[in-house]
Amino acid sequence: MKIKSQTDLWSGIMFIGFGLLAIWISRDYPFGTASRMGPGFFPTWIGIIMTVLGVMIAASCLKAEDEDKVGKWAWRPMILMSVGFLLFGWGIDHVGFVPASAALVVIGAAAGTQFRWKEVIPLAIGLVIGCWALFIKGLELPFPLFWWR
Amino acid sequence: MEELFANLALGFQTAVTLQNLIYCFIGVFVGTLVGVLPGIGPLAAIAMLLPATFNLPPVGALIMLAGIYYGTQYGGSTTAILVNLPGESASVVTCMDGHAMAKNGRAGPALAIAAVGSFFAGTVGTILIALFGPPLAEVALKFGAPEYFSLMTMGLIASAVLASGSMLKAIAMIFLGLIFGIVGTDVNSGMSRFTFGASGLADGLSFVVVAMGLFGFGEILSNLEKGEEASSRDLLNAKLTHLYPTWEDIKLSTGSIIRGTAIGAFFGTLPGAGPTISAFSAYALEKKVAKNPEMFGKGAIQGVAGPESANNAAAQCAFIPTLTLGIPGSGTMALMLGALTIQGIAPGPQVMTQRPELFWGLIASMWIGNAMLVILNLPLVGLWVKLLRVPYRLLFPAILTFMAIGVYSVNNLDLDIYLTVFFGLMGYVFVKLKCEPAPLILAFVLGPLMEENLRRALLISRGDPLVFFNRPISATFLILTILLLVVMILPAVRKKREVAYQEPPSA
Amino acid sequence: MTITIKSTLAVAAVTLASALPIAAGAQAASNQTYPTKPVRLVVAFPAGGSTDIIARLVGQRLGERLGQPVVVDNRGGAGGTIGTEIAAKAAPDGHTLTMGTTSTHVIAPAAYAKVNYDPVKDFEPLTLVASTPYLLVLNPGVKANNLKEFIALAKSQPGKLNFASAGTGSTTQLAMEMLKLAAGIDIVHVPYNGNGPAGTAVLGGQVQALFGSMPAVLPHAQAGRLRPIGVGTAKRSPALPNVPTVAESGFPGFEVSLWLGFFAPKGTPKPILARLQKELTDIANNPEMKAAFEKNGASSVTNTPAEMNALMKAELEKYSKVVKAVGIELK
Repeated sequence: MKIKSQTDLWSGIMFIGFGLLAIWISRDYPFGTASRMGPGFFPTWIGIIMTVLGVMIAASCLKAEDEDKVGKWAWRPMILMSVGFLLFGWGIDHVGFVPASAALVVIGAAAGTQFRWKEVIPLAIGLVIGCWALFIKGLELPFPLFWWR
Repeated sequence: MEELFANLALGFQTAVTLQNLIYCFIGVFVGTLVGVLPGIGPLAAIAMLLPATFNLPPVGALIMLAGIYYGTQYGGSTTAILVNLPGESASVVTCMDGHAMAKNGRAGPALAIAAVGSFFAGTVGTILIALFGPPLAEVALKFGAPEYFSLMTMGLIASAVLASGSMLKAIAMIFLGLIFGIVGTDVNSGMSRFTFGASGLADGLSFVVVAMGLFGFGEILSNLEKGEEASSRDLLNAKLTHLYPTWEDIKLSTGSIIRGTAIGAFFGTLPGAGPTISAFSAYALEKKVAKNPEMFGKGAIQGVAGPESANNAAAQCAFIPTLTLGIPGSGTMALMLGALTIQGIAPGPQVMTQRPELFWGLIASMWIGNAMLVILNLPLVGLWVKLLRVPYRLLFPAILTFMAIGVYSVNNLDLDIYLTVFFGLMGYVFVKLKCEPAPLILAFVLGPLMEENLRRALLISRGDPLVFFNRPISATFLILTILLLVVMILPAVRKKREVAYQEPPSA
Repeated sequence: MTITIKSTLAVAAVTLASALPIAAGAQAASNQTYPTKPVRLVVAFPAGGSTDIIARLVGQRLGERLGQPVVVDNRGGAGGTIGTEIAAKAAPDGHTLTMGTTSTHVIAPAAYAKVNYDPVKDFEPLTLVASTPYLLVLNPGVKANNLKEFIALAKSQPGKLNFASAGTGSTTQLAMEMLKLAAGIDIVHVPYNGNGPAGTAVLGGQVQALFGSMPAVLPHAQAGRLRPIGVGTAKRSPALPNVPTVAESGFPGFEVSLWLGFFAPKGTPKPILARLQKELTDIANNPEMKAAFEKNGASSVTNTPAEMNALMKAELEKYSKVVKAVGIELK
């Protein structure tokens, strides 16, 4: 019982998870019959098949030909990019387009390994002005610029 | 035939004036620029630019719209090739080999062959509309619920071909895509499913959210994992000697362009998922007939030429049901239909006889739009390739910003941004677990149509499953599906036997 | 008539009364500058449908008159409830309007278990702009040349024929359900995703009948690809003078049409409402617009906010009965 392929094991577990979740949520929808399917019919079956596929994929981790490790996760970019995006989504409606996109550029750039203020500040200013001209002036998208408008 | 030439002459007379050519140029130019923006696909771009055409004379407005339509289509392919961001479902296919080519330092040939393929497909599509518009539209009418279900099933099975890794994982990804496709209101019962009580999900997940997350966000994460230096090097391969395709490229692509055009012309007339199915089918076909199938996914030029031509031929032929029957096959076509109505043309069976100058003018302007596109974009290829010279540490924050604005502009909904983060992290997990996202995206697009039509077919047949086999078109698709399955499973079986008998792989 | 005049006067008086005292204050400033940005017109149906086309026709003219573009924002889905809810909850500053219809303001509240808006309490009605009749069409392969023959055919084979609709709980379904109830026939409902696909299904003969909206089916009826057998309005349609109404074919009082009107979110400042009402009424009465509507199978209608509220109440009662009788409940 040696796990050779970590990627197979974990993707199997992921598919099983999604499959069970789909079955669980679909309990609330009328199932119907094969000839008159209800809204629950399709998702329940998809959930079942996906769970089975997940088990098969997870099981294949034992007999994989090569060792296959998942490897290190890039936690820093994952967190910083997510935070930048979430702030943008919240911010564009609450504090306006200019601060929201400026924050996204700076936080996003910080997700990289070569962050230099000397480069990022001009980049942020350039991008915000460019996007303002393009999206708000050019395409007339109705975004507020700042929190006061 | 004579009548056709007379009609085309009338069309070109109407369309070719200096003023109209300028409108066409503006349309193509603006369309390309807007289409390049990630997240803003043809639908959004046309919706945004539509008001600009209201005050033009009808022919001028139509020509400009045609230009915008082709421009955004091509602009979307540019983004897919350069930075791996698909603006619409058909571009997902272009991403796979187009972006792989860009990483090999061959963004130029990829962009050029996409433009040439699109022009050829657009020309053929225009001729088809002029010659066979009404009879082709009849084909669309033959497609009822059973045919759609069988077609979608075939498309889904074909999408497993897109994966170059484990077949089992590809199939599981298809099912995952089906689940994401279920989110939203069920057409048959009017019930909301998998929405977690969020009204923003009642219309389902938006394609832009899923694609930007899985492809854009996920790709940036995995690039940052490798480090910006490595990513910059990837895109700036020193071997960037050819800006335009070599003779070898052109020889390889010619067949692909012709086959892609044929596939696109066939599926394009079907209302619904014409361009998507066409692009994926063309890719599957190219991978099967190619002498170098192992190059697919790693930068095979046929993997760009075939699907791009198919996509464009389908986009062109989508006009057939719209113009001749007044049935819009897609959101974009619905918008074009609306634009025509506002210009005083009611598309439908009578438009050809009542307003011939407008109808043929539109046909002519379609071709002019396609020609203008190629003239404008071939010189631009060099400019786009230069964009890749921007160091990645500066490029990726810019891509992130464009992505965020693009996603938000679709519905002005902050939920969409949060969901993009979810799918972005999922996309990165998929990369780490070696699960390829393309089959998921196709299932996400086709799944809802498949379920809807399965249930509708059974409702009309009063529960008789034989309806899928009794009807010739539906039965044909199902037979093709089974053949596809056999073709897919056979090599796997053979490989196992080879391993079992310990034969050398391909003597 | 007297009611119309009275209510018009009342509305005018109220509008004036509320507008005048504040006119010198801050609201005048906002009124002067209104609209300060593009006006969003929420259309609760997908682009290209009949509601969308009318909205775009009127929206463009409204934009010209307001001096700011009117941007159509298609928010389709769930029988129009999604878009209408978005409009109900939008900032009441005149920069968000919606095209309300029989579907969004009558049928959805009647048919849905839960609708997150109140058609009367959450909106300021502005005016109707158009009304589209419904037309009963058959695939030409069906062996029935008029409504009587169609009903006889349905009675001879109960549960065998199908009818298409633009979706569960759509006007197209309820129009046919009303006829089914009145005639005592059994035809199976097959929901589609909108008017376009429903029309295609009948054109292709997948489904036999459709009580479709005039703009969607008229061109096909005129081209002979669909057989019109009954008009849902009280009077015959000028576009199809030879097709009898359903009412005159043995169902007196039968009337189904789809009205389309403009609404603003509740609490929109009165001066803005008055301005919009005047502009919209002028647009709908413009001969050019009337002709454009007719080309689309609709006719131009205008009325007052009070009349609109009365109309909604009467129709809510009528459709609630059908919804109950058929047992439609959407979640």
